[in-house]
Amino acid sequence: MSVLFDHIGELFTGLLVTLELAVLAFPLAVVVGTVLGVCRVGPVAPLRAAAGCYVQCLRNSPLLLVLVMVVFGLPYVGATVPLFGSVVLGLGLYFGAYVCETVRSGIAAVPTGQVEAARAIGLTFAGVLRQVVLPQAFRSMAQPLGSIFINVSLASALGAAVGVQELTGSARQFNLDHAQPIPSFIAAAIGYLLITLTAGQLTGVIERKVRIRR
Amino acid sequence: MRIRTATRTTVVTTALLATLTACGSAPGHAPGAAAKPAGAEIAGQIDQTSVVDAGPVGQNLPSTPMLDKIRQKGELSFAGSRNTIGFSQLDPASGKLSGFDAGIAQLLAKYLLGKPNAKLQSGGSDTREALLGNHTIDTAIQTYTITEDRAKLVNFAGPYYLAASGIVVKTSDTTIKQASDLAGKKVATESGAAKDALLKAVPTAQPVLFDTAAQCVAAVEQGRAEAMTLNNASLYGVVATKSDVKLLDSTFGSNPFGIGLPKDDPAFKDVVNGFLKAIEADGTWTKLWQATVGKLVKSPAPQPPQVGSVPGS
Amino acid sequence: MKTTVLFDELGPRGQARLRTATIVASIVLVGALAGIFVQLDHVGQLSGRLWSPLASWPNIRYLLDGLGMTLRIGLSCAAMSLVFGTVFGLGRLSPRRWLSVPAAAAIELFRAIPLILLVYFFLIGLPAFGWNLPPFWVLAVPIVLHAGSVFAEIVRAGVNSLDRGQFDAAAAIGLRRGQALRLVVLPQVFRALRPALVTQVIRTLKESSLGYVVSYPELLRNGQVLGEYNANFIQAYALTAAFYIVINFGLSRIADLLDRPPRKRRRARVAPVDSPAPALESVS
Repeated sequence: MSVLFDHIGELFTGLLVTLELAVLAFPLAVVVGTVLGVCRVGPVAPLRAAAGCYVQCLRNSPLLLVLVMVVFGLPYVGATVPLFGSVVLGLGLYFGAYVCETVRSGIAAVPTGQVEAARAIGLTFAGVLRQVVLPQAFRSMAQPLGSIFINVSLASALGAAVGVQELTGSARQFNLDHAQPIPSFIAAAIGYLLITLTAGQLTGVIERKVRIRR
Repeated sequence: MRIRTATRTTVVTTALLATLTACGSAPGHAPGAAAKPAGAEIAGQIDQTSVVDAGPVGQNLPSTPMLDKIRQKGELSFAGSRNTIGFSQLDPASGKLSGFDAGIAQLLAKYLLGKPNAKLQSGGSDTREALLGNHTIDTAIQTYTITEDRAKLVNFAGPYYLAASGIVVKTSDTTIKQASDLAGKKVATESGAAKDALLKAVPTAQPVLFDTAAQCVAAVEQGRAEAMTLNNASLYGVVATKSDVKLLDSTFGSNPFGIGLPKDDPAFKDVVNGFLKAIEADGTWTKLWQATVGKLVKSPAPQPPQVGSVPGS
Repeated sequence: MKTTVLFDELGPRGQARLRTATIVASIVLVGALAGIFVQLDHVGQLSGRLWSPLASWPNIRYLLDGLGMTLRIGLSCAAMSLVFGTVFGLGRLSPRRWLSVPAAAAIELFRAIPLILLVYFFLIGLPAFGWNLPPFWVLAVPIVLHAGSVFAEIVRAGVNSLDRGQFDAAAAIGLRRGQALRLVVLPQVFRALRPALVTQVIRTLKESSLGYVVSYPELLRNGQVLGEYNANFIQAYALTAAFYIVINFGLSRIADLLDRPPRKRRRARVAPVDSPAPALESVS
């Protein structure tokens, strides 16, 4: 056990890397997902089909496969992003597909009357979305988005398979060096619990604040 | 319908992938693609079956708990790799395991049982010691480096091979010529023995860890790491098919590979050491080397290492 | 709200604009796709040497073996996680604190740590205690615990979204809580959760892709070995991805079919229960 406390710095560094990955990948996922969601509900048919295809392909593949393809496949298409950035990109693209579905259901939850009223005052499709529908949709999506953030931080654990040493990878490395599996994995679990419980509480607080009372 | 259009597009994309695979006979455009052999050709050259068929069978072996258990089972279970070129590589199509480590396992099984019934079990660098400790596997023959720390948990027979770590860099790179040039640089490697050897020789190198050798090479090709290191003999196979990376002549470190055995049966360790001495004396070791690693390295066979010559063995 | 309400019936100018937008979008998309193919060809990733090993039958059979193993572990884990999820989800709803508190703790714990950490714990930690499980179980138990906890939350949401009237009516006719659950609540909840069952199968199938950690020969691991052997791992992974997408997409189409409203029955029936909110879907 004392060995663990001597080396707690490594695990803490891993925890910071996990947090960085989650905090960077989540906004990317939200942006990607919103764009995709708008394409899915828009009038332009090829965009609807392309977004639908993207979402289906990514949601039905294992995340590990997507990460490996982004890390090793993207350079062949011309863009060599550093490892950390590739993992953020991979996570963002993958969870963007999930955010897209959440956005679509959020949009569907906005009452029809709102849209009709928006069109009655002359707003265009873009205006309807930007000024009326999306703000209300997002306010009802706090809980699912919080859930996606938690999933992103848990999924970052796969970064270790492609060279980014985050919390799980640090715990495994610690175990390889010192052969103490139980303390190291329990410490890693505590790290993740901290992240998820904090995120869960924050989501609850945010959700209560932005909830629309109809 | 939205769903139908998405379905159509997905089906079309998947069909495209399948067509690509089917039309695989299109001429390659990459420079030098015609000159380099395919990975499977390299792997196909390595075959130790004839050496194993001619291997010795142990006579008058003493009875030990492990040996009795193995004889009762009729097979020797060993933890091994499926992916290490030259040492233990599984041909997905035929299910055959070929390489030096595979040969040692099969020869050991033949020595103990009379037939090369060696069964490959799963067990990686994380779990080997624990699996040996509770007898899930009989032996570990998996480019398993003998260290004194590990010798506290398991017994080692051997060493049976002295490995050096090789360095692979981009063909265009002229700054890295030997291990000391790796100081402070990013070096791709696999976690475990390769990483330990790297840090022992070059403590200031920054290891970047991947799961497989092919990913390490891709990392070098794409500039994510400036070099990669692994067991030298494996690297020959790995770079044989690629034209934009090269294997340096200089090697570093000395990793003695041993056969991992459970700690609680020292008599069995003596039996296995006897096996190693036997195959070294009658030339089987050298023939095995020539049929496996020798096909990749293309230099004369080295002298087999002396049993018990390394701390921990 | 039907999303087609977002944009009005377009007049002639609107339709012309839409036509231009459609054409431009098509050109951009096809152009981008073509550009990617040209670039891949340029760097030699489309060469025959890299793709032809994937066309040989023994290699495809190796992948299909992996697919079989994936289906085997995915389907059995799905079944086990459904049971686990139902038991723990209902346990969490129990009024008896000695049931609800441990159930809640277990669910929150297994949902809060990554699956790969759980797998490492079973792989490396258990032998330290002397317990030894075959690779199938070293992979299956963590998946059941993790996916089962996700499903437990879905069951809980399903039960909570059931009309209070059902519980009151069950109590009114004298059913004990256990009988009420068995005879009234669960049948309705499971009918409403039919699509979630298929999502659960897709989830466990994807989670089985961690088999390479425990050397369980499932699809992704076999793809990895194939890629190593033939020195073409990008291509092998691409083909493996195609397998996953086809299988999971097929399953989700089945889920869509199940989601269609049931045909009218002859006798009068209770109004259908609203589907639970598209909530808590944990992903992997």
